[in-house]
Amino acid sequence: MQADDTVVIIVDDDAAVRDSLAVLLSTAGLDVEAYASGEEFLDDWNPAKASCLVLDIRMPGISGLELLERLNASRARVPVVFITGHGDVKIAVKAMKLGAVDFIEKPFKFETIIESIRNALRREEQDRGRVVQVASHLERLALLTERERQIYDFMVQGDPNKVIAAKLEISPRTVEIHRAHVMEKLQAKNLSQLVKMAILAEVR
Amino acid sequence: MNKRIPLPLLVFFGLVIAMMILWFDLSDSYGIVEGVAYIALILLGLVSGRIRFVYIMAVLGTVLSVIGYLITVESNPWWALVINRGLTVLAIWITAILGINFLRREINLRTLIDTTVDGIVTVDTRCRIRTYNRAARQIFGYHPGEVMNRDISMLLPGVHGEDQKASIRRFLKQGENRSAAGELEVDGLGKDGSVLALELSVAEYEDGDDVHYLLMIRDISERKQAEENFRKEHQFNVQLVKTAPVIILTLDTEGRIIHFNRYLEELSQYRLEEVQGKDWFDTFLPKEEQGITKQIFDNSISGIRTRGNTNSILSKSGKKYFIEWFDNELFDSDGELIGILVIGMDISARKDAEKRIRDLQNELLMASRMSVIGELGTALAHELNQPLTALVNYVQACKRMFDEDGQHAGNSIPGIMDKIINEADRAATIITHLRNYFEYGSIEINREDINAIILDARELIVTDAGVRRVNIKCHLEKGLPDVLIDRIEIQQVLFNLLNNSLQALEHQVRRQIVISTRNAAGGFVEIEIQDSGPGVESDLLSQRYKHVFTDKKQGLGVGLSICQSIIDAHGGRLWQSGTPGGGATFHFTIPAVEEADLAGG
Repeated sequence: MQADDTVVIIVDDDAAVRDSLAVLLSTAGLDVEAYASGEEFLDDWNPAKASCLVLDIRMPGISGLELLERLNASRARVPVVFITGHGDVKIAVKAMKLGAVDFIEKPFKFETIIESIRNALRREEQDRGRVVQVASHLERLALLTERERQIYDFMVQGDPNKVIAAKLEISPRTVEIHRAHVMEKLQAKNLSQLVKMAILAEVR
Repeated sequence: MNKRIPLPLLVFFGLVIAMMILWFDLSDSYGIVEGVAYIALILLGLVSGRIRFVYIMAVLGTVLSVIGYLITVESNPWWALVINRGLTVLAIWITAILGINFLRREINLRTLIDTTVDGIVTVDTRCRIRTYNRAARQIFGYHPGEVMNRDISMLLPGVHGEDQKASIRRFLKQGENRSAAGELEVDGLGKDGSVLALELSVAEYEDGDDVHYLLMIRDISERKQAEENFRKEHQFNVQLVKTAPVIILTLDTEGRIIHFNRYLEELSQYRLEEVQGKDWFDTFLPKEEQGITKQIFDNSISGIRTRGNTNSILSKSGKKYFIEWFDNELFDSDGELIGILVIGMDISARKDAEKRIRDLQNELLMASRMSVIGELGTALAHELNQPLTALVNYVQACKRMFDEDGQHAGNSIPGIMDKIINEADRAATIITHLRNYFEYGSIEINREDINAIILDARELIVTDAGVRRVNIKCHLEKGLPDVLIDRIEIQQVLFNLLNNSLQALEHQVRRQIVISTRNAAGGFVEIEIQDSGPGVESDLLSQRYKHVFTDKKQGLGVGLSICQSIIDAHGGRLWQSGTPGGGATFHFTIPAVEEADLAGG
């Protein structure tokens, strides 16, 4: 289910909460690290390591929400699960808008927290995968010839061959040939896949 | 008679007559007769009313007689002439001397009349004014010319009518308006139309066949005015005593009742007649207060002034009133102490109001405790949640451990269970703090360790402080004596002050609260709470009442006034120091246990 280098990181100012949660999560076989404050976490954090954050909201120093904002700002894609002693709707909404995976009130059941963490790790994986895919797509895109690139741009817009031929003032047959080359170079099974990748890579 | 003929004129006439007589004398020899003519000069002098002039005329006459003798000496035998002239001179001088005596007496009398302070007016039988002296002029305002020969009724309107004579006689004989000294009080009429208060004495005298009356008149307007003023003042005082809504009481030096006013009559239902002369303390004071009040009274008598004493009095029906007293000594004209004048104010209403205020303050205190806890509430809930969360996590962990590997579980579970117990304790402590805080019963003074109380308070507040990023430091002096306080009330004070500090630090860069304790003079312990906030622009303490309803600073004013009450009740002081921009510091002192206190128990 999880890669060997994924780690669940707990940030909570209360020592007992940190310790008890770490103990609990390790009974599920998870690797756990704990920090007492957002600052300490940021000092130590390695973005390359796959991880999921479990954050307390109300902390001295940087609050949980502030921490997430900072992470968002640095374009780091780390899934966050909030745990809190409050039941504040306002904060919950804000947390979700900031992109948190979940918002859980203390005290919580094991099943609840573990489900959220698993969701978070899954998403993390997906995110990670997506990043890789986009990177590959962009690499391959760079290998297209100039003509092939032109064809590609029209293809992902949805233009049929005839239209492309007219626009580029070449024969439809030429377009067909280039099209095949593009699909092959970009390793796309069909057009819709290509379009999806284009969107993901933000080149369309 | 009153007109004075100018002297030069007299001299001129005198000389003229003298010359005429001389010529007459020289022209013929009639013996003594001629000389006698010189007496005319004397008479002229007497008419003039001037003594000096009479002398001058006498001398002139004598000289001219002698000259006459010398000139006619040949025509007559010398001895006839000598006798003639001698007799002439004698006649001149006798006349002169008699006349001068007469004149002198008259002048003296006139001077007397003119300079006397009393007005002297004489009237004849027909009640016409014959003489009118200077004093009368001052009293009535008329010139002599205006009143001479006029009817006396223009000055004394009471004397009028046809039977004026009878009126005046009546003045004499009867004593209708006589004042003590035998004078009469009448109204006079001044020139300006004003009514004059006059005192009049009348004497009858004979002037030839007629009966004249001499009226001596004294203006007593001033005296009358003074009497009137006195009467008014006296009346005012009497009214004051009668109607003032305070007790006005006079006691003699033995403490017996001389007089009291109607207010006390109404209050106590005792009429003055009933108790006049009786002992004040026995009659009016409840038994238990008689002794000490009598003592205070004796002190007053011996000159030790006391003010603002209070004691109760009992009405006839046994109702008790609380009275505050102010006493003053009464002296007679010799300076002897004759008694005490006491003013008493019924403060029963005030006492009731004070009690009511205390009750209300207690209620407010309770409400304020609730509100303070409300402000800490969120933080406390969070505070409580932490141990509970940890507890639940640990227990679930243990359960899971049991579900899986029995051996693995054996090692860690006891350790985890210890932690569980810890967290449960932690939660329990917080609950206990809360419960203590709310256990507000009657005020209980106990020996307490103030440092421990402060640490407790800090515990309760530390999370809230943490969230607000406030650092709380404690500098607690070691070895402080125990303090005698109601723990809950002093906690209330601490929470209030700490709360205020927390709020003050809201937008500060540097956020720190320092709580210190130390020994203070006079058997007290001082607690100081200093924050790094903006400080206070003005004395918050004195403005505390103003802030109650207007300042939305979350009960800042109400909290402080309650703190003040609590500290006051403990006999301590609450004050503030700190300069604007440098943070605010609140101090309060509470009484410490002195070993001597314990001995007595």
